[in-house]
Amino acid sequence: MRDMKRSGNGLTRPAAVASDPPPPPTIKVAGLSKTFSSRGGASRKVLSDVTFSVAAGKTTAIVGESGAGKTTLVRCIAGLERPSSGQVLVHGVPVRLRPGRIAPVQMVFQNAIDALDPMRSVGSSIAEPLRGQSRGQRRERVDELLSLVGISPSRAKDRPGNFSGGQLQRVVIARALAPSPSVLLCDEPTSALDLSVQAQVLNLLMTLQAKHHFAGILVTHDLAIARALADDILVLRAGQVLFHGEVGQLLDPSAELDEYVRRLVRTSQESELPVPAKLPCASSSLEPASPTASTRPN
Amino acid sequence: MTDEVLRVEELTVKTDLGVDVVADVDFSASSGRLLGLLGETGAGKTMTARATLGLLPPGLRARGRVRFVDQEWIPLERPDLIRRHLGLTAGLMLQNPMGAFDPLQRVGPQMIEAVVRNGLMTKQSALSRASRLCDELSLGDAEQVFRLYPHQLSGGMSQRVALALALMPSPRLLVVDEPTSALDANLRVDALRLVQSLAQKTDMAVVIISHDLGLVSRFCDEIAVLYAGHLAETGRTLDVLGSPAHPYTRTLMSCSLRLEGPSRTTLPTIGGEPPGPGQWPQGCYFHPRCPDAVDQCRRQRPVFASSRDRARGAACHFARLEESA
Repeated sequence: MRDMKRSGNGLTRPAAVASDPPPPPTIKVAGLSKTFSSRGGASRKVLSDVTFSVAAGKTTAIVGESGAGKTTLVRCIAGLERPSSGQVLVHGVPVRLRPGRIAPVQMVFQNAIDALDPMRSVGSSIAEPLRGQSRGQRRERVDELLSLVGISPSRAKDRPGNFSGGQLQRVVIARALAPSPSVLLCDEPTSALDLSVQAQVLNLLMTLQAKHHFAGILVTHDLAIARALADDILVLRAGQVLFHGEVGQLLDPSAELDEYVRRLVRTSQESELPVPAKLPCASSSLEPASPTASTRPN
Repeated sequence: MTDEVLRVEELTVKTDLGVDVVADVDFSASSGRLLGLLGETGAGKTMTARATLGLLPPGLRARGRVRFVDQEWIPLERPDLIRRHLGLTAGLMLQNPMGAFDPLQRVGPQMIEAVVRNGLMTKQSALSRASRLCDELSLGDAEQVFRLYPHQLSGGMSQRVALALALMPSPRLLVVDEPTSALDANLRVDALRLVQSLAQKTDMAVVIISHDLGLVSRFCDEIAVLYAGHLAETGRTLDVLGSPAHPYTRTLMSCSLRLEGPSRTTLPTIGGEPPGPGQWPQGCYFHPRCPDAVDQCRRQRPVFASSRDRARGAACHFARLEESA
């Protein structure tokens, strides 16, 4: 187990391993705070001094309850919201959205159907960030991206209404990857999907990251999803970072955790599907359901 | 007072073009108990719930019959008769909670409107109940929540306010569709603990539509698993998840994520996607994705067979149904 130390702000962080210097971060969120002011003069601080960085090929999960500030953080990272203080740097350059320029941070949204124009073919939506390339190059890239996410390029002309939820999320991922972003920001990418499709999408994201080495930021309210996809986790509550570290540290009973974080881990574990051994069957008498029940081949 | 609050028999939902969306579904819900309707998107969970409460969208028709508490059977072809129970005997929380609110009205008046208009409570007692529910659902200062417009609610808040809205009339039957999908683990457990405790205290039956196996395993007493518009398996939660009789239930369980599971490794999946309405394959509907399918599964559709005590049932040629104690 890695050594742990208490950082200045009281958070438990993994200690640096001397022989293995960390790679330079692709994205660095430094001291980011955001305060919203109303017309009446009242102000509300929704993010307070959030700092973390993600290296290429790594993923950080941002976990928090509703109202924790996840959406505001996402908007600041994507350049859609200007922070009150602090900054977001990609390869050392502040993230700014400029008309006609492709942002280095691309997003995968929760509801894929809302992220796509229902009247445009999915191929046309995927090609949108490829403006400036020739028609042939765009078509070739769209085919390549669709194949990459496991959808037949022959479906490029289909509209979103002809795809299932899982397929649409793959289309949205393909569109996000079109400009080869440095950072892929996934906001609850699987919360609208079923268990089996959720696993397919998470597997796809891991495969794509291994191939394209983008830095991943995953926003989720589900610790188990964060565990499956992320290298480290940042727990946010009321705009404050309550924990930042590896998932393993969350499960370490000796780790010093904030009470909210400890409860989050406990309730996450409690609301998991128990292993079958912990679900004793009420009876042992077997009754074949149909005359063919005993004829099943092995 | 009967133990059975809801019974639905031979529920079938068809489109106007005659395509089956749900077919031959039977289920019941008992007082103080929670029934989980499980299944993937397109399995027919929401349409089953909506048909049961007479709330099918235009273009869909239901057949079959439903009975609330100990009253007369109502044909599902008569949604107007079924809807008389809404807000009185039955409460409903739909998947998109924002759809439950009038966007131009503050939350407070909306919470009390139906119960006051139906003569179930005075305005004062309705406000007091709404305030208590807000408190129990960790919504913070109820007075402040009442003053908000629906667009000012976050995703998690709107889910909890919609749940409070459904609970306002103290219904005998509560149907909730993906009630906690926007909530973190703490709030999810709190919300369902409240529903479970109200069910036990007030003899309310609850039908929870979800694809969250973990949550259903923790809170539901019974489970009905739907696949391609049909019942795949039913039974007590402990029995079904302890020893699944249908391969679909088994494979679904294998896809469930665990906090103590491996990180950054390939997760198990069910190959392919569930068939949509009108695309149900010949034979067993699950056979194209079933890891155990044999030739018989491709040719012959299994009947839904029940155990002798009728506590368990499954639609698989090779199901072994273990009787409840």
